[in-house]
Amino acid sequence: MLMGKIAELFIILILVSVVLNVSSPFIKFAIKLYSFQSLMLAFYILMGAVHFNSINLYGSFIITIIFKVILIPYFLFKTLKKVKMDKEIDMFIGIPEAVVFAGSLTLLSNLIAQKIIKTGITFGSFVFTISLATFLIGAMLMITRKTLFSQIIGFLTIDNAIFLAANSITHGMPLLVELGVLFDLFVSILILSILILNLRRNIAV
Amino acid sequence: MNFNGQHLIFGTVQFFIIVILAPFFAGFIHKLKQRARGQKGINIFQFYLNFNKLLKKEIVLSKDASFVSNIAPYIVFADYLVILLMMPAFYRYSLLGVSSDVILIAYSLALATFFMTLYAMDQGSAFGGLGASREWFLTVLSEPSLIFVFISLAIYTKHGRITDIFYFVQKGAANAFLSGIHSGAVSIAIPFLLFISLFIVSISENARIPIDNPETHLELTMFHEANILETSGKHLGIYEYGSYLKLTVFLTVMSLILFPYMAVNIYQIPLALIIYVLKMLILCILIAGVEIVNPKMRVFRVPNVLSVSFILSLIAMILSIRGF
Repeated sequence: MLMGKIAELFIILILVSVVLNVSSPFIKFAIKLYSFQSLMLAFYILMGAVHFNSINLYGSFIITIIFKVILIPYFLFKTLKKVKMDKEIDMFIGIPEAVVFAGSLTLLSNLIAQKIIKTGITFGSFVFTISLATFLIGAMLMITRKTLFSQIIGFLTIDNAIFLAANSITHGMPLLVELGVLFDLFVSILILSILILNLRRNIAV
Repeated sequence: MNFNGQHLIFGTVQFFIIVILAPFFAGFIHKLKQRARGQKGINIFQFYLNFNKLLKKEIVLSKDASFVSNIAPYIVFADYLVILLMMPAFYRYSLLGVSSDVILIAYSLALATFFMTLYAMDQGSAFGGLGASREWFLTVLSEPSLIFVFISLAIYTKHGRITDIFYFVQKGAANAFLSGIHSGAVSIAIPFLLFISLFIVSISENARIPIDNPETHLELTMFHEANILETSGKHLGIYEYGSYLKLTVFLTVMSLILFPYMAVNIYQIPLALIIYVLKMLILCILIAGVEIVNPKMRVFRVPNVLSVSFILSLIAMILSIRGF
C-alpha cells in the first residue's frame, strides 16, 4: 500500500512540474523541468517493475533514464547554446491566465476520466486523470507559445503523458516497442534542433 | 466533545507556549539569514527585548487620526490570539476547538489584514494608502489558495474543525503505517500539494523575501512595512508581535500537514511538544533557506507564483473530492 502511495506522489510531481513549466518564463528552467519530469516518470516505472517483477519494465526504466533524463535535455541545451536564445519565452496570453487555464484543463480531464471509467475500462483512474491533464496542458503549451524552441517542450510533455497512460494500462509494453518509440522521439528532437539551427542561420527568427 | 478540566488546563498551557515561542521562531529565522550572509547576527531572543522596549515608549499619532487608530492594533493582536486559541499544535483539544471552523480561521486572518490597512490609511500619509493597496493586492491573490487548501483538507477528511481534521489525518496515518489497516483516507500526494501551496501562501502573507522585504524602508520594496511606517511605541510593538503570531499560525498549520502528531493524554505531551518544536525549527530553516537563495521578485511577477499555488490547491481539491 505504501508503494502505491509513493507512486502517486511521483505522478503528482509530473503534473506539478508541468504547471511550473507553464508558469515560468525561463527556457533553461523549462528544459530542467522536463528532465525532472522524466526522472519522476522513470521512478514511477521502477515502482511498477518492482511490484510486478517484470523484466520489460526494468528495461523501460533504464531506457527512459538514458534517453529522456540525459540525452534529450543534453541536446536541447546544446542547441540552446548554439542559437544563443537565452531570452524569456513569449506567450500569446499572460502567465497567470495560462496557469488558471491549465487548472481548468485539469478539472476538465477529471470529468472526462470519470465518464471513461464508468464505461467499464479498468485501469488506474488516478494515473489516467493525471496523464490526461498532462496531455492537455502540453497541447496548451504548444498552442500558446510563440517560438519553436518552447513548443518542443510542449511536444515532449505530450509524449511523457502518453507514455504514462500506456504504462498505467498495460503493465509495461514489450521492450522493442518502447525502444522504437523512444528512438522516434530522439530522432524527431534531433531533426527539430537542426531545423531550429537552419532557421536561425537563414531567416534569423 | 465533553469539556473537562484536563482539556482546560492543557489547552491553556498549549496556548501560552505557542504565544511565548512566537518571537523566538521569528528571531531564529532572522539569525539564520544573518549568519548565512556572514554577519554576526542578533541575539535569538532580541525580539522579546524589542517588544519590551517598545511597550514602554509613548504613542505618537497623526493629527488626522480618528478613533480607528486607537483600537486597530489591539483588534489585530486579539484576532491572532483568537486564531491561536483555536489552533491545535501539540495537544488535540485546543481551548476554542469546538468553534475552530476552517473558513472562520481563513477569514479571521483577512480581518486582521483589514484592520491593519485601515490603520495605515487612517494616518493620512501617502505611504499608508500605498501600503494598504499593495497589501490587498497580495491578500486578494493569495486568499483563494488559502481557502482551497482549507476546503480540500475538510473534504479530504470529511471534518470541518481544524482540530478534528488533523486528528483524523493522524489516526489514519497511524493505522496505515503502524498496523497496516487501510482506512481509506491516507494519501501522500494530497498533503504534499497542500504543503507546497501553503508554503507559497505563507511566504507571501508573512512578507518574506521573494515577494516582500520588510527589512528595508525603501518605498519601492515596501509591502507590509508601508502599513506600519507611521506606527510608534506600543502600537509598533503590538503590530510586530502580531506579525510573529501570524507566522506561527501558518507554520503550525504547515507542521501539522507535514507530520500530524498531537497528544491525546497527559503522557504523550512531552514527546508531542518536542516533536512540535523540532518541526517548527525545520520549517524555519526551510523558510530561511528560501529567503537566502532567492532575490526579491519583481512585483508583477508575483501573480505567476501565487497562481501556481492556487492551481496546486485546486488539484489537491479535485483529488480529495475523487477520494484517492
